[in-house]
Amino acid sequence: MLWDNIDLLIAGLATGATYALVATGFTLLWQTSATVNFAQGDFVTLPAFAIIGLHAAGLPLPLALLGGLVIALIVLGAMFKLLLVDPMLSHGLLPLGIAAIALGVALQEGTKAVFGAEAFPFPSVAGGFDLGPLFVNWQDVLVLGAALIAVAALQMFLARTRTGRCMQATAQNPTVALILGIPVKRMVMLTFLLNASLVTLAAVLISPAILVKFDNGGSIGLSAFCAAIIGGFNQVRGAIAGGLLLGVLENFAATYGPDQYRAAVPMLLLIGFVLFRPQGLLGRATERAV
Amino acid sequence: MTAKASGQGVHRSAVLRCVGLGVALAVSLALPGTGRAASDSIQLADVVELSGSGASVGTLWRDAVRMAADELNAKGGILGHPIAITDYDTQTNPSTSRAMIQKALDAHPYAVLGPIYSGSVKVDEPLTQAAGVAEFTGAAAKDITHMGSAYIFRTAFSTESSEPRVARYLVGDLHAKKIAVLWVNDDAGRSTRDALVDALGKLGATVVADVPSEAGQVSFAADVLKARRAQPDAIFVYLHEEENARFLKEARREGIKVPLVGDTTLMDAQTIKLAGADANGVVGHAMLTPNAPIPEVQDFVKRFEARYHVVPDHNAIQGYMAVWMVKAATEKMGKPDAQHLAATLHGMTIDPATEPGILMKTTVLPNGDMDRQSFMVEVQDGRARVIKVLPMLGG
Repeated sequence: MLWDNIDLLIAGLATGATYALVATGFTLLWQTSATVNFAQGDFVTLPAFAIIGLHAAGLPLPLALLGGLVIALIVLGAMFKLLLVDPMLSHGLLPLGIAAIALGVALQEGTKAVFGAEAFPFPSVAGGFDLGPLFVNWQDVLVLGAALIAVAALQMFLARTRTGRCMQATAQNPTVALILGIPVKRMVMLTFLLNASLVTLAAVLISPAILVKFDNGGSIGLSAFCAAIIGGFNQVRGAIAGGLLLGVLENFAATYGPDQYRAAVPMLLLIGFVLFRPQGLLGRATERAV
Repeated sequence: MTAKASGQGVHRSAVLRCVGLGVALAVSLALPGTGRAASDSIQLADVVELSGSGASVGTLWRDAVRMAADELNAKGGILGHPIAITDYDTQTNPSTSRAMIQKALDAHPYAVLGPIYSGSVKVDEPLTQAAGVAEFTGAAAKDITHMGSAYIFRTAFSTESSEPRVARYLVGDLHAKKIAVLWVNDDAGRSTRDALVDALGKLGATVVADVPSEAGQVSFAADVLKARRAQPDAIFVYLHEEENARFLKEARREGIKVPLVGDTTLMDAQTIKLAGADANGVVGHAMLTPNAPIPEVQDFVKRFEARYHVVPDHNAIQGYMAVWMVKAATEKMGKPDAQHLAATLHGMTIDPATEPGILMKTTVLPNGDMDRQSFMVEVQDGRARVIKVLPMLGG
């Protein structure tokens, strides 16, 4: 029984770590450019397709991974900001949110048009090791380890480097940041590029488990959005905590809860937090003049 | 006077325009013209899952339907009438599916091909019944041919036909007495689960774990754990292809050693492609498989692969067969007759000796179910291999 629960915990943390990566992108974009990117889940799908496409075209896997990252940086980072967010942002949050949903649909249909509707396997790490009576998959260790290292590095970058602090200042108050001489536009662009890198990493880590399919983005995006709300939409560490918590809770709820309601767990959690702790687990309550 | 003359002129020209339009309309309807090709062709409405979670299933069906139509058209069509296919996307959504069926029926098709998902077919079926248009579906849920429509025809086995065969294999061949059942919580999954549990009960076996899952579910850690804790002699799995692959990876990760038995989708080419080596050792019943040791099936698989560069699955084979069922019945009638197409099909046996596109000898039963051979399949070295051919129920 104990080992079963440890097994569930490991699997849940591995899934939750990928939610955390995607959720971190949500919070980064929200903080620096007030963008709620409803296409975030579909952003995970594009680099996954790019990587398997380049690999199938004959590139070795490391080069295909690099190619996928470059494509994500260009399309999901720079182009997303310059061609969609910048023109739409002045119209308010709602039009931008709707434009992001439209972008998500376009990404889904675009990948379907190019790669077809069927799912594709993604390269993974084989094997594992025994831990007591459990067999722990190297893939799960890789997912958990890589995700945690990535978010720790991100936290260090934001807190310990000059560029990171400039990004935080931009997030907290762009006007004051501009007065202080911080290149705000460059910082915002950097955030979008960081988000593109995070979704590429999430794509590499989660795709071996969920496979690569044009419509995977919907469920990933929803889970990551819930994770970001649960953890605290204005805190990167909150998004990480929310992702891990959600991944673990999904597994335990599916095991010990009623089967029919397993898909409702993230939604119930989301509603609970919105009602009773809207700032999330680690988020800050903020005031806004209306 | 001038005004009057002018008024009369306006009136006269308006009358002349109306008469001219009327004559033009009458001529266009009466004489051979642009409408003739449409009326001469056999219009098939292909209403399938082209987006949403069932897109991979519907796309393969659609591709095979197109291939069958192109092949038949290259030989002059059906009784000299070319086949024209119009695609409609159900978005794997029953309410959209119903709207698409209505849209298709408004165009007065000769027959409707699809949908494949049972939930969609259940809501569509009354529409094709009311319109008196034959509908060919790949859906397996039991209810579909119990709803009183004389216009519904399966290209797949009903769960009532399939699951007793699986139960006999589990109890008779594997000597399993305690079975864990994992199923996808949709119409086809529930129907499969019900039919299997019923058949297992009749054979004295016990269901020790009954685990539903959701379509599109990502993690199967909890499902596998539930099945493992019940200590079954075998695990029966009925999920969609992608979920099958996710389940198999998780089952191997958790070290499941008992036989994994499925029906059609678990040994499907798509499942094997996605699960890789984790699919090896899986065994089960397949109503259709591209690995069937039947020359017509093998020839179809080669042509499909050459055209689309993918291995066809059971849905593709069914879509191809559906067009040939239309052809066989139409030729039996001697002319395209949409009103009598359904009545002609009931009780009809189509043999590949005379209709090679039907691929396997197929009998259409009076309620729209069908009977043909099926297969026990085992995945070995990444390929589904037929280990036993099961005869037609009707002998």
